[in-house]
Amino acid sequence: MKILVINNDGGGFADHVEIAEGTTVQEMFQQHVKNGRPADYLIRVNRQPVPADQVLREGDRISFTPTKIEGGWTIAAS
Amino acid sequence: MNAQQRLALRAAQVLHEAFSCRAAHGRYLALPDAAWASCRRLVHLIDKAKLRGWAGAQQKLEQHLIRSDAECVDELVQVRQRLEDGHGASDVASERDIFADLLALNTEFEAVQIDIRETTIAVEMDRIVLQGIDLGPFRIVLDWSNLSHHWPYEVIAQDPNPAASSADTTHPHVRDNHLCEGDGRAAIRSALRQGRVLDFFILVRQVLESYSPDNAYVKLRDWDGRDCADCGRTVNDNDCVTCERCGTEICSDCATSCTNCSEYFCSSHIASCPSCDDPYCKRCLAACQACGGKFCKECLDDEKCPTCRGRDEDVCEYQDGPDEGDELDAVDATDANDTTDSDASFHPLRLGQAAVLA
Repeated sequence: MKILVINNDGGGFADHVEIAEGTTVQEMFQQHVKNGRPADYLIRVNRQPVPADQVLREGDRISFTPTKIEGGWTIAAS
Repeated sequence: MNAQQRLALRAAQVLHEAFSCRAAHGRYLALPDAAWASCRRLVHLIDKAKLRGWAGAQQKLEQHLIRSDAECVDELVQVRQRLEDGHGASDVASERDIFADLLALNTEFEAVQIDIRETTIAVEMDRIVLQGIDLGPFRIVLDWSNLSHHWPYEVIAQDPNPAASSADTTHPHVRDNHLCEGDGRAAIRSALRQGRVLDFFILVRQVLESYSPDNAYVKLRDWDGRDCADCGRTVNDNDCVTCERCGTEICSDCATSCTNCSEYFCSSHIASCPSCDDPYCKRCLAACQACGGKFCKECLDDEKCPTCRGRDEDVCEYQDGPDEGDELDAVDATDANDTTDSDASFHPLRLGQAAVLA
């Protein structure tokens, strides 16, 4: 099934991806945010906060946004 | 559907059109011409400031250069991204997505205002407190008629507590209502390009709630400090002195006390007496009536500096003889004897001529 994944870390990735049935929010997080801890991210499914074990469904929109984003004149590697 | 939802729906239609229009008709590849021109101008001004020893001005210009330089890099990175990814109208969020984003803003922010006539969406944030410093609440305003501009949005302090050294700096990463996006830059730009309104506002909020001391306009530890107008360093209040003459703030290392009045002055309003070399403010120096040079009152006698007095004495001795005239009464006998048989008794001009002729 297809869902929209938005990773607002770094360059801001947003794309539709194919996932297996029964994939949870936590599994998606681990796949897309390699070195992050869930506590350091705002995780939303269809724009709402969700528990880590929630199973994703066809057409869902999941987003990961870091809670701390350093401002200033440094350019993030994209 | 209630009034708020109807407004959000109308806004979603207009926003979708604005984002699509920008994606379809905006310049596909825009090189950073304006930012580059600004960099060149700033480098020229920095050279000038450095040459003249204007440390404060140099530091401020360098900050502006960092900003313009980052704009150049950012625009070039966007060009590269476009070449690598390609972007078209299909990348833009649908009306339905934008509508859902607008409704979700109400769950993320204190207040949301959509003004279709003004083409703006504004969200209110709670007070921001960083390292114990209360910066007050902020308002983020996106103007969708400015999507092609470099700054289509503003971050406005609602109860500002700006840095003492810069009234325009309301947050370590906000100056002139513009956010230095730093690590959030690419994600914010990407959200704006694709019409992901909710992500855009959340990203800006997360940058505002973070602090990066190495890239701050003003570090929080210096928030209540002042910039020294002479050397440009930021110093705390206790180490700050106000120039008695012009009112600029200077650090205690740059402040100089006048030998006569004991007040403190900046480098522009303090000078040395050419005779004794002690520092005096311009008010405590007086002009020598003969040469016009500025001397301290201690070094002036009969309103003349030591050099001019010496010359007068020589001239008088040459013209009238040591026993005549009131002026000579004051002449020290030893000095008079020293110059009696010397060419130095001539007026300086004649003395110069004599030297040349000799």
